[in-house]
Amino acid sequence: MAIENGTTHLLVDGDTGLVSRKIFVDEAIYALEQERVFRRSWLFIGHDSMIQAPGDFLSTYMGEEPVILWRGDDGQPRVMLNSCPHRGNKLCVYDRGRARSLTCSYHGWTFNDAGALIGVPFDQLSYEGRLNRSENALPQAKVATYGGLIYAAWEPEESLEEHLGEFRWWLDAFVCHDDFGGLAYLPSAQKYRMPGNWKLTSDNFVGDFYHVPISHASAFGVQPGRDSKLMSRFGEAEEEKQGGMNAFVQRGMEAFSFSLPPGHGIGQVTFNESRLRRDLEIAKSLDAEAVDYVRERHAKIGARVKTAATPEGFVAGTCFPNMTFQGNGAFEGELVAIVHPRGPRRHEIWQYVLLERDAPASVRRFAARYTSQRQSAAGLIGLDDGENFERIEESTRGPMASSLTFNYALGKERDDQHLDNGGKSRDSWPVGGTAGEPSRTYFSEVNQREFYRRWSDKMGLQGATV
Amino acid sequence: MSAMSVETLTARDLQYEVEQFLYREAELLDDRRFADWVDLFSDDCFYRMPIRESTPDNPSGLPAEDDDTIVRHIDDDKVGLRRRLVKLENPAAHSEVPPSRTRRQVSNVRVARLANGEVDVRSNFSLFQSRRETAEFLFVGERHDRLRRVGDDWRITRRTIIIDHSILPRSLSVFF
Repeated sequence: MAIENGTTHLLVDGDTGLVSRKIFVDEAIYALEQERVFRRSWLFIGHDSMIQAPGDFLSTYMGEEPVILWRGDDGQPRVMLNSCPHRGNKLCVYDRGRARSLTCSYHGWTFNDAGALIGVPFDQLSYEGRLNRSENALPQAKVATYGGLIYAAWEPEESLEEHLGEFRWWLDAFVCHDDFGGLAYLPSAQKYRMPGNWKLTSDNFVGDFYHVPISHASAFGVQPGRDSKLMSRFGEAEEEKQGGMNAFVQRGMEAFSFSLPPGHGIGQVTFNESRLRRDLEIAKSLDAEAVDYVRERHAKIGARVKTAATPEGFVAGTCFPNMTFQGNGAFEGELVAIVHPRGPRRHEIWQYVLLERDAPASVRRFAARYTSQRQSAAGLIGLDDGENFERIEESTRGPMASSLTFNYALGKERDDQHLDNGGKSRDSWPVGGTAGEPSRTYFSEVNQREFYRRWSDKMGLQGATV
Repeated sequence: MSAMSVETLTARDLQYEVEQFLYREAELLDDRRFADWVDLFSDDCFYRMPIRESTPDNPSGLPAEDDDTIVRHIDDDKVGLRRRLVKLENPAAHSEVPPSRTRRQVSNVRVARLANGEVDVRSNFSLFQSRRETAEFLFVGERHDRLRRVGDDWRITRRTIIIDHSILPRSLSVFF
């Protein structure tokens, strides 16, 4: 294979933090990735609340494979290949719905919500009743759930619990809890195409917080390089009274990221009640019920996590390989997205808002709108990511540009030596009792380094060079 | 021209006025006069793009217009529109640096008077966006607007953008 010829640098170099651009552009690596990452990893498919009743289904993908997530008559969620075993025709042509059976439009084979072949037209005339129906059931992926999150894998190499690893602590704390009725999905899924390799989005969410004050400056109303205007929640530009960009970054420095083996990561976790204060400000503009909810929610998090300082949720994160998180505040719920690969140079983002089921009506109304205004196709934050990825895609096409590396070395020395900025000890960090390896949110790329180490392991390409 | 109420306009004049308003609006957007464009919306407006889904029981794939606990692609009020304006005017708004070249076509304008003196307007649109060298995108859909007569002019009090894409072709840095 072409990728093994020549030896100029490692595909993924854990020592230097350099990653070959080939893994973002090369067709052969992409094809191998479909086999080794997307076929062998646990992939997030959906949330229990998306298919509540028997017969509820939704169409989605595992990598490039179209699948149906379908709740059977027995209440079990199943994940089946959305391709008729007879001639490969797509069976389910709806985004979601409820059905007890699906009939293929080509020759009429019919399958029930457990994937069994239950109908064959003219069975006696055509197959003389001898078609082996069990051999022609819909292929099913292995399914495992974790606190309402439904994952599937074709050929898993470990249990779902092992795959989630250190992420479980944070999922238990913020995603898989039962307080206020637990999280439930607000319809519908926002879906949009993105330029560039799927890993750009996964690595952006896993730990690229360095880009936030620059890429998203305009979303926060901050102008780099000058004493600037701050975006108010009410849409007017106000004179920044808190010192412009530097103050913005200083506030961000109070947040932490966590590398969560194997290969997951989260970031912008605050322990200083800054999100609580922001949420209370929003709540006060709504109603008393919202204010009570925000306070009670914060107290419940504290009771759940039982740490000295209460983490306020993670603003962004990635569960390897292609499930991302955003939000985690009282008004954002949990924005969960799937990054679907679409060839080496394209991907799609399908995102879903999960919110506490028993949140007050005013909070539900606010949350439904909040996502569309921030991290979404038209959101003030999301659209600048798409622009950057489009530019990356345009400028990494040629043999020269694609032979170089991406640099993920930020903060490596500090992280290796377990030091804070300025060479200080990390002992004073308020992270005791949490899970994972912490770093300063804006100024470390350790989460990406660990993401690509995991990717390299999955690919069986440790030490591979280009 | 003196201010005429909607009731006294002939159907033909009403149609003409509404069409001219929509063309002017498209011109403001293509000319990137975004502040003037936001001024066309009433303070109590909404500006929405619902998500369209294929489901067996809902052929249009559109959600109920008054459902306020569903997620849309865009769900703004006047404050939200002003916030987008502030972002766009920031020199660090990369998604529109350099500015997109856009061209809007508005057609099939259908006008219906409402009892309260406002009018419902449906129009089809196509929006071509070109960025940098060869990044080109086409957005197609229909808009359901409600217009309110203010003096000789109109204000948009509701806009629902019925986008004819299930998966959006790119992030949306343009207005519809």
